[in-house]
Amino acid sequence: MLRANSAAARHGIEPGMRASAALALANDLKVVARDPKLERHALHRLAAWAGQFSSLVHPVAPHTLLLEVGGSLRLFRDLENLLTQVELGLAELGFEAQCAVAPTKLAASWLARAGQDAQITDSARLAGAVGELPLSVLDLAPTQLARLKGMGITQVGDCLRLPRDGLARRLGLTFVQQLDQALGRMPDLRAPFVPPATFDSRLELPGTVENVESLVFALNRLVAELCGELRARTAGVRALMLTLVHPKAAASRIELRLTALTRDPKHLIELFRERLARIELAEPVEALALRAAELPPLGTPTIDLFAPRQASEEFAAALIERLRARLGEKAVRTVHAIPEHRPERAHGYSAPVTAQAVINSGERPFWILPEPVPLKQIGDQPWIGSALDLDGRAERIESGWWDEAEIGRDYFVARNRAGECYWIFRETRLPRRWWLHGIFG
Amino acid sequence: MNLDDLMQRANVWRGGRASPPSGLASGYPALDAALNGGWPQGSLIEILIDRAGIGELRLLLPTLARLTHEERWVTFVAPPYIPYAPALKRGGVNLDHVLLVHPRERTDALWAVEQTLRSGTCGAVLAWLNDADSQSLRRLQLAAEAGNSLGILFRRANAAEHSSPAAVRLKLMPAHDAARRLSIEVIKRRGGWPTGPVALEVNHALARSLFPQPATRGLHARQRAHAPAHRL
Repeated sequence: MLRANSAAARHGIEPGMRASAALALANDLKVVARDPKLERHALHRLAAWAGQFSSLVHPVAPHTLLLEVGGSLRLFRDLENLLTQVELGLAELGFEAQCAVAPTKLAASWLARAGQDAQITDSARLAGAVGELPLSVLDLAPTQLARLKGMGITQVGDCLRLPRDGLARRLGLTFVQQLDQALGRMPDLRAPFVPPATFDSRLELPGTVENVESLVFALNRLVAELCGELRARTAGVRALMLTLVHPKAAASRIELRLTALTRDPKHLIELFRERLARIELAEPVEALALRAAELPPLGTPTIDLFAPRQASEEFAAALIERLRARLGEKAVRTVHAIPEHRPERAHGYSAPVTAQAVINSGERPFWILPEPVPLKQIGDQPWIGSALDLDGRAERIESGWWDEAEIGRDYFVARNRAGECYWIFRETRLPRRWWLHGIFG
Repeated sequence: MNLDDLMQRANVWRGGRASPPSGLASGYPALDAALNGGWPQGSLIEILIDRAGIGELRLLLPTLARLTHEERWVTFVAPPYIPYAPALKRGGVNLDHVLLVHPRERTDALWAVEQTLRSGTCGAVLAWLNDADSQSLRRLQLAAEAGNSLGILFRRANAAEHSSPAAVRLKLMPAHDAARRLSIEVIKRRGGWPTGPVALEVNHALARSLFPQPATRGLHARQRAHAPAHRL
């Protein structure tokens, strides 16, 4: 038993118990197995989230997260405030943490493992604090631990008093090196953690949930995690996919497309709330997954007293998104005039675009064909002279609902054996044919 | 709260403005006089008509043109037809700040009007709500005050029989004597008694009067076009 909730504790179940013993105390006990893969994933998600506090983050399996905070103190005023922010943030995500501060990575993780809220900022006090730690905080093999116990050693400090060469001979050089690193006598270099370029997080709900408010409550965690990571990267999101996982039925998906980049958790939650209130769930929800495929850079807001125009554009974008979230994307649009004599062609609709939104497009060819031409296909393989090799990822273009020329295409840059470079696409709908649309000159 | 948030509030009076924002000129001096200085900002305006197409939009065109050029949004909620972009453009409306909202249900329409009025980014919200009850109208009036926006509601003429929290209620009828003229009866206005019918000429020449710039630009262009002829 690793953890027991309050109901289990009332039955006398305590951490450290064997599962069989616990089941004997309460036969209807629900035992959830540990999932190391999920734990590793959660630790990496937290590392990405923690990037907002420090640019040097190291996740250490199974449950330690190291942050270099010396460089962030001025930004967060002082250490106390920084730690409060970290703890509050973790609590918001539903995690509990034991925080310790020390001049070296190992010392900090050992202090935290020993359950001490130590804040050691002075290297002179380091050896003393580390010396009082029990051996259990060290990463030791059982044989090493047994050997140390046999030598009558119970505290880290006892090791420090022993001659180095003898200790190295008996317990291995790495053990001595670890002690040196912990005390700052030897550098402890680790590659900094680089978070993945996409956001993908999943939250298992404790039970199944149907009610919108409970879903929004759970979603708050995922959105807080997302916005923490966005702050860390000074990035924003323009599109989000929320997946609601049901026990049996196929998952429901909610796609949120924004008119302007944002990393405002309140705004995102408000939009999701509108969308959730509007869908019919086939079944209760047992898990939520939030995914953002792109995290484009979004500068930190400059606090400008006299920038009403920019502010009003932001307000307009927020208003348009609220309207679209409740009424549907097709219900909100703008009109434009087209220089054209035929009256019915002299006007058109488009999706609302505010000044902040820019259409980010992939690579475009210099020659475009007047109409896409169907490609010769052998099996599923497009063919121009020879089989075409696809470069990179597909650029999906799904657009145009407002002018009845809706398209759904995956564009690729493709090359044949002769080195000719083409712009081709595949329909996203059946029969998923290949078409040629442009030539890179 | 930063200064921008404060500025978004309707109850903040900004000194240094050329004139206090008492009314928004409608572009028609006769109407402005009847309304004691133009459209009262941050309030509901009811336009009571029995038939579309008597010039009700042309009456508003100068106002819409001016608001959109000040980069405030103008939103059409549940319009009965498609607002025709080339005509709006000719009337001087900046189409970059025009938004169309087509809600499917009546409650959604009311919600959309309230949101857009309250947001503070919309200079005017034009809504076609035939069967709004007085309770929802009161909500909309409050939203218009909060967002300092003009909430222009098009309703059937028989709504005049019921009371309404709107600050201005105008009944529009085609004038009998000439085409392109509107007869406006002010049923309710701020700071005054109802008036008898005011006859208005609604056409593009008048609509431009709020905008000296495009007119003078046109004039220069014409002069330049004539200049080579003089030289020859």
